[in-house]
Amino acid sequence: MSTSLGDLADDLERRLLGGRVALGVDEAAGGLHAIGTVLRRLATDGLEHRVGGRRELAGTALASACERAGQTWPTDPAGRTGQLVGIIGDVIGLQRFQLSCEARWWMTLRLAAAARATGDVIAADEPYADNPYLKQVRATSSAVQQLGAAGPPNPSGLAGVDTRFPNPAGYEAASTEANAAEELTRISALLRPNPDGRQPRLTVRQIQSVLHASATAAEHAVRRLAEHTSEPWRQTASAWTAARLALAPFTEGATPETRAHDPLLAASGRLCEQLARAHGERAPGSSGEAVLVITTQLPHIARHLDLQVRMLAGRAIARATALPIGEARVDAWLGKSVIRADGQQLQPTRQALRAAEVLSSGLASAMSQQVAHRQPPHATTPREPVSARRGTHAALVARDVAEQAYRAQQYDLRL
Amino acid sequence: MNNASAINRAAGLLDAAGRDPDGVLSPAAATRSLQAADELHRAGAQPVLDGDPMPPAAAIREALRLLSSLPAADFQADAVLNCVDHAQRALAATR
Repeated sequence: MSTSLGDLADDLERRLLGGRVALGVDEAAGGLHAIGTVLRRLATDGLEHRVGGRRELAGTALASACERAGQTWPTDPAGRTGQLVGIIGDVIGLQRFQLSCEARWWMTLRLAAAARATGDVIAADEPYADNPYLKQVRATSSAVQQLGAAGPPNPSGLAGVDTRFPNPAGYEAASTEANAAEELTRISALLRPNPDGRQPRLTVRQIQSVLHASATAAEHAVRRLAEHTSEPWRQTASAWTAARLALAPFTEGATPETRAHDPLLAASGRLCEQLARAHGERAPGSSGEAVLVITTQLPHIARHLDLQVRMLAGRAIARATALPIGEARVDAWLGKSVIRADGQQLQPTRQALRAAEVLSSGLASAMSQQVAHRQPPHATTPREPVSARRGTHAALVARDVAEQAYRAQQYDLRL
Repeated sequence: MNNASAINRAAGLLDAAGRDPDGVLSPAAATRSLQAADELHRAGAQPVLDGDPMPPAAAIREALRLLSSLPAADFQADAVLNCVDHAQRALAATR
């Protein structure tokens, strides 16, 4: 198993913001102190070509604030957050001469966000809410982030963040496929009706995010399908993408009802990032069980999203020119006005979703046959097998929807 | 441009980048952009829909630039800091 600085930064984010672990004050304080040490090292190694520049000054100020705050409370030496930050520090040390200033700046920004999150954990404990050291952590972290917004790391200088190396001692990365299967299961659960039987009311952005995740998951599953399989199931990801493209002109027409952290967007994002890591690498000894879990979820997700898209009528808005002219009123189209979605305008997305459901069911059956002898008890095969003919028809429908969406987008760009 | 306009414009740019109607952005970058836009929208921003379409990476950069111009006290709001973190990750994921 191997990892990279990017993976470690993602793991740290999941640890702090994933909502799975409630951090204690002692673990947060240990993490904060470790973050200070690593930030100082990064600033010393150089965050820009100029010595003593604004990035270096801001990074050093944040390092001092973290170290000071980290020493104010008893720390847990076995705390996972501190250990994870320590591993990041070790890797930065090992790669000292390979990392560019941009990569170090990128890592500084990730640690600045982690410093704010750990500081907030301690500040959430009533007696420490107004602690001046924690306020300083927040202020200096925010100053680093503001510099990072004005001058974000150049993506072309971040190759060092992706360099893979064997797992460091004390670090065990879970399988990316298993993690992705877990995220998709979470997404699927969030789409189900509430315990009182009412459907959740998803925002346009949540639906678009799940469509991105489903297309990524389907694409990954198709790559795991035996090469001799030439059935239409190979088009599953395209159908999901067609649904996404058909919905792409639409956005929120109203402010979301809650200000709380959105678990659906977060889970979709994590799934995409995890499968991007797995892209191109064949997991040795992979039984395919995680992929089977992924494929069995997809038809259910398509069905739930179809209902959710139907519920967007009257809520979602779009620029009329971004829609195929047949779906927008001519006066609105000519006036380039913003319109509210009606059932007809959402129809292409729903057609593509129904195609995605058919193709995903076929893909699940094919995958189930491929790993039949290792099928886990929790993975259920679709109730009705899907014929290849029905799959071919679904793939054609999805292709038409994608072409229409593409043409509308080209018109919109020209206007 | 006042603070509210800058935040609304940034939310619109990030939303457009995340919707990715051209299909040019990686899913990881697109979902991060959507999360970034959502942070501002949930805090009350009204994403701006008009304006010339921009390539997604340029839109994310422009949104970050707009947010960086906020006064330090406004920039320290949780929604802005979370948004900036997601947007920076989105930009990095375009590599």
